[in-house]
Amino acid sequence: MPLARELRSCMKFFSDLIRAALATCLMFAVMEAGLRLAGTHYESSTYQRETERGFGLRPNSQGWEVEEGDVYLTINSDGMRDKERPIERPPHTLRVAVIGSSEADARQVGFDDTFESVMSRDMTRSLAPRGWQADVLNFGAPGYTFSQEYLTLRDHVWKYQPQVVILLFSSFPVQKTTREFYPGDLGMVPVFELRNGNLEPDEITKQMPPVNLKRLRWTNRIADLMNTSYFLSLVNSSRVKVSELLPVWRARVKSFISPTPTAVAPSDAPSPSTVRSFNPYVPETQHAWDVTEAYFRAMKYQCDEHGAEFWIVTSDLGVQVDPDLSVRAAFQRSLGMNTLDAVDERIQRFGEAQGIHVFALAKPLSDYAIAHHAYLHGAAPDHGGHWNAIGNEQTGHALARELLDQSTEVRKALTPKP
Amino acid sequence: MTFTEPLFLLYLVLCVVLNRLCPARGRAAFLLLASYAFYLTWSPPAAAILAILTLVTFAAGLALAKAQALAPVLAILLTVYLMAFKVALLTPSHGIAGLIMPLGISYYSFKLISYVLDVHWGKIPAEKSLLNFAAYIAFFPQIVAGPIQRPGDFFAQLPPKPVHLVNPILRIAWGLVKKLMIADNLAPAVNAIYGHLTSLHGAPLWAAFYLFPLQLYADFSGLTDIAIGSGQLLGVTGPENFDRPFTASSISGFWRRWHMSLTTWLVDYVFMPLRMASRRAGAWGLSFSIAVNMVAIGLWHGLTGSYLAFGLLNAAYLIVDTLTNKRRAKFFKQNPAWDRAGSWLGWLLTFHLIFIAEVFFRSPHVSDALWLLGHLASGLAGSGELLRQVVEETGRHALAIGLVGYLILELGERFRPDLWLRELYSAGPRWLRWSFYSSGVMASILALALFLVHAAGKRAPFLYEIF
Repeated sequence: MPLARELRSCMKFFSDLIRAALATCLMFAVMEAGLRLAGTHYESSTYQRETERGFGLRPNSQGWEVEEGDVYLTINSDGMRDKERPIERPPHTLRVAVIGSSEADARQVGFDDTFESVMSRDMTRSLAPRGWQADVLNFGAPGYTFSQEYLTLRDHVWKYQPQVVILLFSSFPVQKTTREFYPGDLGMVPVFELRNGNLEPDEITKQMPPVNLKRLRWTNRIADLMNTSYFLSLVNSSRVKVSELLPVWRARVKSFISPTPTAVAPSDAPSPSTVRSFNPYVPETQHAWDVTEAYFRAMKYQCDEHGAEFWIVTSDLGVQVDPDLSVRAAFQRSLGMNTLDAVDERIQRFGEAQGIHVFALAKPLSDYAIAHHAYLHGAAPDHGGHWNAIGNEQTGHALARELLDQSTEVRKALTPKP
Repeated sequence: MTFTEPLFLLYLVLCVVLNRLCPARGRAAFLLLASYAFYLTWSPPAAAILAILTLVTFAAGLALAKAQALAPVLAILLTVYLMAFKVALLTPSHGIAGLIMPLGISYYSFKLISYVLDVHWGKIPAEKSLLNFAAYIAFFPQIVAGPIQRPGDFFAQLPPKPVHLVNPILRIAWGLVKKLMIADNLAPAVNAIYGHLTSLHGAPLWAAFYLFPLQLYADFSGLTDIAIGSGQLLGVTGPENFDRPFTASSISGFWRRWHMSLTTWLVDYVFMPLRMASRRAGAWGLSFSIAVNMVAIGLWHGLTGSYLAFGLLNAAYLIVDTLTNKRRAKFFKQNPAWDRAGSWLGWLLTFHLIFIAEVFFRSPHVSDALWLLGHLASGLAGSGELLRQVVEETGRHALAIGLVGYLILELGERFRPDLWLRELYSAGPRWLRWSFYSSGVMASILALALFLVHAAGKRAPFLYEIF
């Protein structure tokens, strides 16, 4: 009976295949359990592709941030690193919307330790006797440039009806307002050009294809799956690592094959990008600054349109709040500048001219760092990177104080209505 | 390029592919080329020195047939060359060693010396092919930290024959696990404690006492596994260096299991000639030969007081062990009831004696080692908090991974699950073999990902790379 034999052999093949598949699943489960038991976390992706902003935080995504901390992140259903917020502003609530990049997102610390949460608690404590509360909404997203922050304000913020909008300004993204410092390297980031004083998307931005929603759903599902599994997160992290290491290896192989003597810069000389971040008067960045200021004006205009108060809060540049004054002095010398506050001063002047309230965080944070010999950024030994828990806490306190003292909207809210 | 760098692994893959494509006749030349390319990434002047020494020793090997007296002279000169660098390292500026410290000098010097002496003693004929000889000296999987392969064993494997790739790859992977998962996770706590010895007492010192030998074993045996696996991929199998050393129940047993390629080298070229010369002196001659041999082992690592103390302490252990061996054997023969307890006690004693010696090995100065050993019991009651602080600062998580990893290492080497898995694979049904394939692929992906995420870009040198 050859047919029966064929059938049996076929059945055997499929039965072996199923057994092998089950054994493979078991192996996967063992690996997954092993990684979970080892307790090591791997970087998750909480982003998604977007048509307008290029990319944004993926609604309802969750995962670990391990680059500068060990924090489990949850993104809310509206793509914010925040808890769920009612769209409608609750009565007797002062809503503050914070827009910005990684400093605003503050994923280096747990949600309750972000400066937005600290601000919220501080302000609510002060407003509570008058029957009010504060709601500080976090619209920050790591890697955002001013164009994306502007689009966030324009398209995502207003439905929450904030009375105050804070732009947490960091000087590094100034260089990303034009393509000249990142030729071909801005990826999906939209870039606006200044035409007759107005901001308009450049040709590359206009030609960016819209997001294919069907495909986006699938890629988001895969990304969520990867965040759920430690094994898949690890594989994804290794893929990212390889992409970071490839240029390094290429350079090493190239230098071994054809060693070319290169001018050796002093090891403590700041990079051109660092110089541009600290010195707002470098000639080649003046156009980028013009574009940046145009964004400020556009945001102010948006806020005026919606009856909200617009604040620019300048974030410190790390070394500005180093508790060791000699470190600051040495860095200042290496920059060849007579102050580390040039960016703050420039924006202060701009704000005065435009009627925008500007608050520089460097001063209160620096006072705290010196008084307590505290490092507000990163962790030992180098204390580099974003605000740590102390940095976030002090930022929250300083901002809450400043808002309670200076905001007209706060004053308005607290003034008893006849 | 260190063995844990992805770039090294890529280089190895490239070499394996090219070696396989190369006709058999050209493989020795290819190994030589690949080895010098690897060595040049370390230092071109050091590569030049290696080439000159290779040429001189090769020529001397050929001339030995006519000029026998040349052998001892050359062996002494090579020893002086090695010692010159070791002495230079003692000076504040490191002298010439600060300018060009040849990678693997301690290993290739011993290869050169053993070649000269083996030819002189007629154990092997002088090698006629400069290519083969130069490939032996510079063979890149072994040049960083051994194992020290004998010339006859190496030449017998030329031209290298293609081997099955699975076992060497598994051996390399196991070596990487030992280094990256165990040694590198134990290292922070060990380094922190040894870095602040004089401000610590009690519990943290006990932790360092027990942790360092485990770190050293995982690190060095991991390095050896990668070296042997890499050599096998290129068609040359090197000698084993370890055989579960911490299970030895006597000091002599330990030294038969620890850094075997170095100890057997010293036994053959130092101990045996000395023993032959001093055999008429009886127990004194034996003790003297052992002492010289063990001091040589200590000083091979570096000319420092702590390495000398390490060598002397081991010499003392070994002399007592050797001289009491017959009496102990007789006792256990007469009292078989004590035999089992004796082997347990022997293991416990050996384990601790070796760990005491390792304190001298790790400490920069003899005074540091004495501090550690002298303060193990002081303030023990209140030192738990100190240990907790050290562990918190250096990473409780890392230490836990390192210790669990070490447990897996010991159990793995004791029970050899790879052997019964292999048996299961060859005797099992088809679905089991398929499961092996798929699981193997997944395990490889996991291993590669772990390697890239945790190790790539970091430069944590192997402890034995510095010798």
